[in-house]
Amino acid sequence: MPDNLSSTRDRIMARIRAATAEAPNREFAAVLASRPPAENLLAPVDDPVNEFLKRARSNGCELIDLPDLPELPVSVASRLPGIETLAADERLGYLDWSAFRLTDNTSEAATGLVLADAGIAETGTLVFTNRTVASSLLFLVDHLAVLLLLSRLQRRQEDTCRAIDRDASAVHLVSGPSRTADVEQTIQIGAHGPRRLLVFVLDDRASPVSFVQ
Amino acid sequence: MSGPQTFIARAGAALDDPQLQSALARARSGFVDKRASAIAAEPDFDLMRDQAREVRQRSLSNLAACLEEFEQQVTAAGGQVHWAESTEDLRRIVIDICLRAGAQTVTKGKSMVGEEAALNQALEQAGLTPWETDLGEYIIQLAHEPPSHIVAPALHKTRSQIADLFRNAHALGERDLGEVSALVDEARAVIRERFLSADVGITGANLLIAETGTAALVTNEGNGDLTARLPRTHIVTTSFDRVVPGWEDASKILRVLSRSATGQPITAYTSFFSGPRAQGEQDGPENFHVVLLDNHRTDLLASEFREMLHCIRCGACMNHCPVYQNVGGHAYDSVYPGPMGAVLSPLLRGYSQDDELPNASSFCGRCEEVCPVRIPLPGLMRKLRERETLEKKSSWLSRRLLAAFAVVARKPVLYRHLTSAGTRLLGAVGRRRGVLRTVPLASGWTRYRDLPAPQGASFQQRWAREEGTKAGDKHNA
Amino acid sequence: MEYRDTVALFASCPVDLFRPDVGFATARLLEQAGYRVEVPPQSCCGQVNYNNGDARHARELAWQIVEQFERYSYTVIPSGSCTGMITCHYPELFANDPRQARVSAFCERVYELTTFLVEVADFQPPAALPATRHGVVTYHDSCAGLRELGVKAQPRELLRRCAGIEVTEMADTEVCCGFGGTFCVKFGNVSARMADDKLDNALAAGADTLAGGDVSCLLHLAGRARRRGLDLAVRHVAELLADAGGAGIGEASAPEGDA
Repeated sequence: MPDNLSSTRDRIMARIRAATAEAPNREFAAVLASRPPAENLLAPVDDPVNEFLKRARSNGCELIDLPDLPELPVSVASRLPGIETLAADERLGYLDWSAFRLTDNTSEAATGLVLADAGIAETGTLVFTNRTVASSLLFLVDHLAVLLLLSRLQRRQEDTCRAIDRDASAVHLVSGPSRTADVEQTIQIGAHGPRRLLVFVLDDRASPVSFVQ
Repeated sequence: MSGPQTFIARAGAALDDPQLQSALARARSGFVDKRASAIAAEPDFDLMRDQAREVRQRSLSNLAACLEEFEQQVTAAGGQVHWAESTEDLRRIVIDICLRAGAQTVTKGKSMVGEEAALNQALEQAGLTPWETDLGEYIIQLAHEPPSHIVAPALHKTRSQIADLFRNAHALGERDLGEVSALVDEARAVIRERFLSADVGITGANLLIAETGTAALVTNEGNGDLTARLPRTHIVTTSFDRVVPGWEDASKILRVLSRSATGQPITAYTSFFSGPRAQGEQDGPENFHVVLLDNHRTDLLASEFREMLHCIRCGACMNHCPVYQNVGGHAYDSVYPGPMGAVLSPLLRGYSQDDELPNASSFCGRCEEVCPVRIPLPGLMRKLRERETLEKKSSWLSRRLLAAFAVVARKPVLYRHLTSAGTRLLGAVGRRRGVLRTVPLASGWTRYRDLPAPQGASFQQRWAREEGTKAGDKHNA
Repeated sequence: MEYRDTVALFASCPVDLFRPDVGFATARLLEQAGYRVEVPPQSCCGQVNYNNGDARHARELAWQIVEQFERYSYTVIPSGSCTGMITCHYPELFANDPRQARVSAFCERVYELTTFLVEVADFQPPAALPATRHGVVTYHDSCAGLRELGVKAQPRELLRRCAGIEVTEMADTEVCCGFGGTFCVKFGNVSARMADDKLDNALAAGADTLAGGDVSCLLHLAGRARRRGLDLAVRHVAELLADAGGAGIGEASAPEGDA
């Protein structure tokens, strides 16, 4: 780094230290630890499954109850009639997708199919990291179909932070189809990302499903 | 933007602009009603605000430790942090990165720091082609205008004005753009190509998270993610005060941000970017840069205005401000309009014409009432007015008048005699109509409204008289 | 008659200068509630200077008020704005000043009129007033009273109790009327538009009378209503509660000889 840039940094940091005399040389670990008591004071999310369903629906998600994982291809086909090309999460590749043409090219595929790393009940949110799902798959497709396993449902954002691989270079919280209100405050679905967000909900809490990575 | 030089003149033009007034009327009910219903549905909202405020306070108090950790984490992930003392520094750093990447085209997500630094013009001058991707930013880029709102940059535009802009810029043929959906689809198709071909993507950041060196971005359109993840280089332009210590702290801010901004419990997309694409990851940029702007924020940090750095840029203060609602954002002549802008603009820019901004408030207090992190905006505006007086920048006449008023008011008996003489005179003149149409030296009042006539002698004078009569009665009895 | 206590009445400049009727109405209400009323010598609470960046003179005026009024058990003010200036801003104004404790002790005993009547005096009117006199009444929630003091239910409760008036709510009743002290003269065009929004909302609610708790806002609204030739009476809530007759604010008073 050129000298003048590093000295800019030092000048700014020196001013910051001088301005925050209350904590000039604190260690970062101590700062993290100085967070107020860990217990969340907000009202508990008592019924996370119903909370998730309620919130996701009001965010504009289409919710589908999936009785059994092998049913997923049929369920997707019935919800998205006429869809032929599918950009599928490789972890779901072992299911019987013979009714579809699978592709790796997300930019031309009409429909993406992905497994959520987690769900957040508090806001009806789906969580992805690009360790497992390409960011472009989440955003370039017209329709996004998501498989959510209820065993991965978290109550609040804070719980989710601890449950996911947050060192990934991209973590995406997706809470509904793409939308905009930039024209006359009118909410319009399908701004730049998916126009539809379908969530296939599988209750695997009694018999957890595992995927080969 | 060249135009009227004073707030009051710009406000006057805005009040007389029917297109703008119709756009503002729509926005008024939209934002206010949506926020109100989001908060009605959330009994814990006040607690959420307290938590968010605590995070902002703790983050700023420990800024040095947070920023060092942030920088270390970004570097460890293979990214780079740059420090910009001024907006000029920021422009130079960004252009440098673009040129070294051999870039020609740049997609941009919405970045208020980018607006503050007028980055688009600088990129163009450097021979680069910046493409705004947020629909609102795209609209104002076509119109060659600055944003009029920090969340909805094109809030001042009507549907037909937007259609005209698209008609001029796109090869539309006979396509009808009458519906909002047609406008959105048109922009989607045009901008999609740009996402796929851009060399560099520039976004802002709503938050920086120190513990993992992360830039968090909140959008509804998904444009921010496509800008950040598709090009080979991602540049984040933001200011250092956005940093919070950890992910749990970020949650506290996110919880109040979108509820306050758009009335959503959460926006469609909240994304966290930490460094370039790592080994084994599915996709992402090869280069990741974060440019941290100061531009006088360290001065704010050291001053009685530090609380202004708590601001999370939700726009609730302007959405609820009756002045902003009537005149719109351009009247403030700054990328930061409304109450937050009336405090921030004078502090960041130090233009003498900005001294007007903190005065352009009726101190109704609605901004403070809705601020998710409880910034005492009227209090900060009052402090700016004090500073203006102390630095003797306010007009000599206004300072003399205030002092003279205080001298008289400090002598209640003199005050009573002087004022009562005045009210009796005005009362006598105005009694027949009940109002005065014009009053010497009071044209500021009577230009827009009549002056109700005083009822005669002042209350104190009449009270003393009546008490005197009563006392006299008692004495006689 | 046995008084419950003695109350100091701080009229506020707009009442003192433009609308003494509100001062007398206030005194009458306090008397009816069982309090002896005194009016100590007074001028401005300091708000004009304070809000215009002149804290030094504001502090001088504030201290004068404290010295004049602190000996009373209560100080009552028919204005949310001046009450808010005292109770919320005097302590700030005397931060780092040895007099702060005395100032704060005084501020705790300062009340906006309707709050005092409902929360301290539990005022019950001697006799119900004729509700019909003022037609449909709507109430503008002036900003300082509403946001600094929480004045919202009190005037409505009193209007119901005293005159059987059910306030007809207008749209955006909590939005500023555009007065804002010197704002209304420095930014007259914006201020007038805000007044128009308020007046239009009142008329749209079918109001005959626009009531409020601050004469300053009401002077501005009445002045604008008269300029536009609107048929809307403007009155302070104390006038309605005390059944003060006479012309509304900015209306021609009764024929000559009434002085």
